[in-house]
Amino acid sequence: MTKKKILPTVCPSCGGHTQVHSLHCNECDTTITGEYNIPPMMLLTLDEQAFVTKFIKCSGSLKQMASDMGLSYPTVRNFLDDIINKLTKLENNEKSI
Amino acid sequence: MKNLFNPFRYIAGTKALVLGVIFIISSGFMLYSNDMIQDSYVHIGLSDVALWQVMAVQFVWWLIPAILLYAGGLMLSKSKIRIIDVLGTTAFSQLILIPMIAPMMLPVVKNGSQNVINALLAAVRPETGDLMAVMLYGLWSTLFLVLFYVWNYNAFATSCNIKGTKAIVYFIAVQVVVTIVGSIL
Repeated sequence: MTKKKILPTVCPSCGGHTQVHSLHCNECDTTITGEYNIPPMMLLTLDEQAFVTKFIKCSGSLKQMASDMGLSYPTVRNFLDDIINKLTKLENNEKSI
Repeated sequence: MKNLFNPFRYIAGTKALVLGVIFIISSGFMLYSNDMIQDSYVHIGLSDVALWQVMAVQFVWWLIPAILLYAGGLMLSKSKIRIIDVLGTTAFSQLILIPMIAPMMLPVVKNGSQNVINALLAAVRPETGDLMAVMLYGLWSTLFLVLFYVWNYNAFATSCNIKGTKAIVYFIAVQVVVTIVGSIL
């Protein structure tokens, strides 16, 4: 069984955001190299990504999410607001580059 | 341990409000049955007023800070806050009053504190047992008083999504204002 790999979005050396440098097709063995920014959504932590996925699956109902997760409504809303702020900052950083 | 200091991660809104109102009424009954009243924001004194007055005072000492905290949330928070969460979480915080008041119902504490007051008024040395009871209750109530502030702060921070310095400063300001107003009234 292969171990699940986690995309390293933060450089372990300097803490900066990493970029995709090459893409490889396993079918035809073609490798494409270049500089590709990682989308802001992918820069969220795994917990945050799981939260966003759950949010979509719950059709955006925070009440439903709170009930499913066993948390209070404001706790879930606060977590969502924190993700919104983080995404906004990431998008602004991307625009300024 | 985290739940002990911030139960509002798990409970807020209507559920917390209903439970909170039950806690407020229960603490009101406990005070009334012992001829006591919450005569200031965080102070309990002797009184022989009617039950409805004890209850009314209990609700006032919950509602005034709750409304001030909600106003702060509207001014300082970037989130869409709900009044039901602020009222619910702050009402639920009143649960702390129950273990804080409960020992006052024990004869050893009730009579002990009365004996200490009488001895001090008569300028005589109070009995060691009475002093011990008063000191132990003092420690107990101080612990719960700290927890009362921690819960109230977390109620505010969670329901209004405010963190850091501005949350602490506003919360302290509300506590100071309510305590001063309470001591004047």
